[in-house]
Amino acid sequence: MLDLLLQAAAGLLSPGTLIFLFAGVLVGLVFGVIPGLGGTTALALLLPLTYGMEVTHAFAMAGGIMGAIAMGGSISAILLNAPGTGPSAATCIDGHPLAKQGRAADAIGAVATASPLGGLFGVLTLLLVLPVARDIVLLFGPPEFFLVAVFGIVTVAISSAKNLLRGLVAGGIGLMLSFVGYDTVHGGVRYTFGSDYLWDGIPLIPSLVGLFGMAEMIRLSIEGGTVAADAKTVKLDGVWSGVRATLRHWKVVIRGSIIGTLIGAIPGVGGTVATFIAYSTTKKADRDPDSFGTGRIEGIIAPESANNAKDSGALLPTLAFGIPGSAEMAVFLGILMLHGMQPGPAIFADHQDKIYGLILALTLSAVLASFIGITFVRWLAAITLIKGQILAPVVIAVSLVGVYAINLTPGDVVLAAVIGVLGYLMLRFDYPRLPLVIALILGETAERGFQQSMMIGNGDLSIFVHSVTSIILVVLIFLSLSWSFVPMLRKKFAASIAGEVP
Amino acid sequence: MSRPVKDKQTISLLPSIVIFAFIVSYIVSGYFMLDESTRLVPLLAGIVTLVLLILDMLMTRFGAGGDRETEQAEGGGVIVPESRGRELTAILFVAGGVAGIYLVGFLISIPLYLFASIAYLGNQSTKIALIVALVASLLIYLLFEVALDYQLFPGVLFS
Repeated sequence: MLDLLLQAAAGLLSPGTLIFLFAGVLVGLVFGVIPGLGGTTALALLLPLTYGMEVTHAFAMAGGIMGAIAMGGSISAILLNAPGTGPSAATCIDGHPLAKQGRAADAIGAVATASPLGGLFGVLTLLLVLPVARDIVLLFGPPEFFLVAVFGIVTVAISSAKNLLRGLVAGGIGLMLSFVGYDTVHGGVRYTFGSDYLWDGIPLIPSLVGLFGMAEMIRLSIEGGTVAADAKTVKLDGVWSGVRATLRHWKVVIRGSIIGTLIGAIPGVGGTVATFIAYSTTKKADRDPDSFGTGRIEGIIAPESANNAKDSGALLPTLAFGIPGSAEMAVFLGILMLHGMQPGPAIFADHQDKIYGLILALTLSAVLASFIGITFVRWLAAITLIKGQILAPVVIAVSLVGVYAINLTPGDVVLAAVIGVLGYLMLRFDYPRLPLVIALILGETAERGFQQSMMIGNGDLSIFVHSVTSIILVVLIFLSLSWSFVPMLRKKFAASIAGEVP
Repeated sequence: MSRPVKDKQTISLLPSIVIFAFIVSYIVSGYFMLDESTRLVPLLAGIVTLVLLILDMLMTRFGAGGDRETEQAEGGGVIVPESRGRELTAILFVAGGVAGIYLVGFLISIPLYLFASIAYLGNQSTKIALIVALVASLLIYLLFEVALDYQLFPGVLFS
């Protein structure tokens, strides 16, 4: 394996390949920063361009994009609370409050360190796991997919809301909305009310841009001021304290990386779920979970480690079975096939050098993107000093154009705006937005898993506890719920009784 | 003395009542418009959400949840209730911008939306609003139309 890695490293470090890697990193950063674009769009645009390229160059550029997207997406998540990509949405929760406190540079420093460390962890895991990849992926059948989806929704609902019930209600509404469109299990369409646009369901990226980016910008335009609450407190040179904080919280990095790699490897679940689960797990494990959401650096480190680690995890099912772990990987699969590489167990035997080259490109691009991020952090953090009355309309305009660019559908623009207003109202009336998004993503996986499990088990619910993996997942779901429900009910009733006592 | 508190609790129930109406319409329309196999999971999700919402409403009404309007679940900050008029104006500006994009396309409505939002909603000088609107629109055009080769939507009136 070492020979192959050295061979791949020699190929990657040649000047020609490095140029493509660098170009990929720049494209990835730009596409990551602009809300609505992201890795899938960048790779989709790259796909036809790679046709005439050497495979090594194409992989270097694709690896560059995939590695840098996370960094770019997190920069806009921190500075504008508008996640450039879906998985960066979790970084908003603590990253944006830090920017508001004038510590955007700290937050970007943490991202620039946690991202490559997570990526490195994911790559090392991938190298170790490749020989047994098939066995791991096969542990997940329809019941496990259903349970992973439920677990994802429950953990995010619990972690993102002060009020658990409202978190679960928001998750429920997200699930209900995820059923709009074509029913992939039984056929037929649901809740489209005659609209062709809704046949494919409620698209994710316009929803994310609306709920997070536009909602926040509407609020900023109403309240005025700057993103950073007090311009005088903005520290533009705090990047190294962010780097140091990340190294100090190495356990959070490892936890996030493990979660990112594992969840990333489960097809259909995707990076957004991985980053939110990494966030909520870190929050729960902390001694002061209530302080999360106010600008805790661990709240950035955990999802960022998971964000880059998930790419390596998602490569597993993509390469081993041709089952893409995410939309980004689905496009990457197209690049593989365009270059005559058929995914499957044989790919590791036939194209070992190229696969290792790709893995190294992913690692190097994450490091390169972090270096660029740290270099330009002063200029990036200065965005938080721009007046909200000027910044908000510009970000809304760019977001709307970015959303349109995904499918060239004007309906996406309208949807993003409608969901933006909904997001603002949720913010205003204290309904958490995160569970809604996560349920919107996982709804289809949950339904397909549930229906297929029912078919396999002839309607018997014991199918959901038929394997060790599913039993572990069921236990985790119940533990998560009881951990949060019991203290909440106790507190509510105590407050209620205290209110009645004169 | 307790009357204002009760009124506040009733007002804080309004969003829940809107959501309640949405969920009930979802369940009813699903029940009558979809066949049995396709409606099973959506109705299950709807009913569970309805139960959770009713529990939350009961907690808000009879528990200690009536003063949550100023709390923020995500981000840890505090949302100070702004004047309804300013909120409505900001939302109307976004709606107007999107309606403009739909009717006359990005290249006409984006500069107009930016200028109007910055100058009127943002109370900035006309000069600043004009410069920002033109520079931002030019950058959007150069990035999307020229560099990325997208054809930006020309609007239903011009397409």
